[in-house]
Amino acid sequence: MKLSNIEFSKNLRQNILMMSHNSQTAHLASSLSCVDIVSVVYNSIVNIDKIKKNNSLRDRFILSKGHAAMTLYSALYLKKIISKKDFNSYCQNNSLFEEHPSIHIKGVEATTGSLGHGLPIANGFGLSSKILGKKFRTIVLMSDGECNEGSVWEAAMFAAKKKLNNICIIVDYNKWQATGRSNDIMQIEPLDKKFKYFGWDVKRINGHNLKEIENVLSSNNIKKKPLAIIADTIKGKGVSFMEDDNNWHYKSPDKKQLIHALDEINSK
Amino acid sequence: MRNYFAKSLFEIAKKDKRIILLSGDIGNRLFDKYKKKFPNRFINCGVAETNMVGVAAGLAANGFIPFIYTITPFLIYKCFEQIKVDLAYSKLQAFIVGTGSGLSYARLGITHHSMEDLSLMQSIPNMNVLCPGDPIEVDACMKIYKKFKGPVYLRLGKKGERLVNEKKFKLKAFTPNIIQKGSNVAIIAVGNTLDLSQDICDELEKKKIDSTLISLIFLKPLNIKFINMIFKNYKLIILVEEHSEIGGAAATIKNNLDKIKNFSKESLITFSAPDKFLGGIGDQANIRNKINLEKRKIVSKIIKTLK
Repeated sequence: MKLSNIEFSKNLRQNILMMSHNSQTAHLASSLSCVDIVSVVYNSIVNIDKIKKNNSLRDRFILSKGHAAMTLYSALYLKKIISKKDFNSYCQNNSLFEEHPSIHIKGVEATTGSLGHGLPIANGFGLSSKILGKKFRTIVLMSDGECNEGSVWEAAMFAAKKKLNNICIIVDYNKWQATGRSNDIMQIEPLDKKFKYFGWDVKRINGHNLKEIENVLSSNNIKKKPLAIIADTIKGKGVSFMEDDNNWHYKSPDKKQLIHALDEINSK
Repeated sequence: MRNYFAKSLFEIAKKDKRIILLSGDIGNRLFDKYKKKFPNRFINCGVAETNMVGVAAGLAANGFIPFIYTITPFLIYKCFEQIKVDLAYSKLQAFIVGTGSGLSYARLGITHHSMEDLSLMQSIPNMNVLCPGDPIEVDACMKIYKKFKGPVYLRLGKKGERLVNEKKFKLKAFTPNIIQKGSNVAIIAVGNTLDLSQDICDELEKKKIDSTLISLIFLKPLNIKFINMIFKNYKLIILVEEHSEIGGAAATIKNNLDKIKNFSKESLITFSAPDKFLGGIGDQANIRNKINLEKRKIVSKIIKTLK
């Protein structure tokens, strides 16, 4: 039976917390802020069967903020694209499931981890789709810190000029990057206007409102423009003592914190 | 070389719909014929090289064979990470075509010199590194484009290089091209030093020393069997490259000495560029002269060694 998006999000968060605790790896808060977006993408938008069969008409999802690999692996696991054994090998020696995703993992469309690579590759996907007359779309999940990268803006100009209305980016706008508030480190604002003036169709949503995410991702893009969705999110979303606390960019929960966090998610 | 590249690309694109050309806003008029015939398979990516390489990776992942064309340093240096992560790690077939390599664009200044490109490209796993020596070899490399797995760096010079090969020929993949056979000395040219290497052979002939002229072409993967054959058959081997002494073809051969059976220290002399910026010196001939990539200097060294 298919889980509701709410249940799917809950499961993702539980998995991510356990992964972070078991492996003591970083980027927990960044992984939690994009849970609801990834949840809707995998639970309601893309065709899982086509991904499993590596069908050339499958919709492509690129996790350009590769440091949220825990979220991606959890979604791939819950959708049975990767096996339990593979999922459990996260950050073990001799496992391909490292802290950033590799293209050699089933269901992973691009190797990410260095920011600013996803959108250029998505441009190549979008062009391929147009030239070959195949109607697949590409969704790219980016971070706000990632928008510091020059390649993002090279790619933004390109996508607009080539009218790639078959690609869509979602910026997981949690207002933090590694060492501080994103708008204090670089002039991110006004992010929506930046994309608008770069020739994109722009929509702003609450990145934790599952209905809003689903609506914006399932509406037909009739404009001849690529779509940028600025999703306002909270870093560490779902666990009250992690929310909007950037220490959890690096920290992992200990046993006590894990139990506390899981309890909180279960009770919601 | 770049004119032959454009011509060969047009020919292979006629037969293979997967071929797609990406240009970093260069090649004014060079691709007119191609653009007219294949408007959907020419993409001017603007002066935005990192995006261009990512676009190529996205296209290659969907079955296209992209040829990414711009001036060498802008492609190799700016996009090193995209080449490593997006193309090589995925083992996607794409051709990274750098024009103006080595000192071909000498007078344009150090921004346009590429004396480190072989070092960078060789160091990436899954990469193929090809250095054709004259326009005919460019054509020959293009014709075997299906033979490669993973990305290929095709190191081009400029336009109007002298034809050292007399006529078009069929190149055997991963086998260097023997242009002239002699018995005393083997001269190995790396890419655009083929003209200079031919001049060296001619000068040696005047002095009654017959020499073999080889265009290496395939730097990576290096054909160790071939290199062994050369060391077995010649007591003196000369290698000439327009690249830094760090990480180029000379360095690679020296790095493989344990695999060469008949190696003796006296049997190999290499001519590369020193570990220095070569700005403020002028044109290609003047820089070559300054860094001892020059016919008379190399010939006199050969004669001294043979004595």
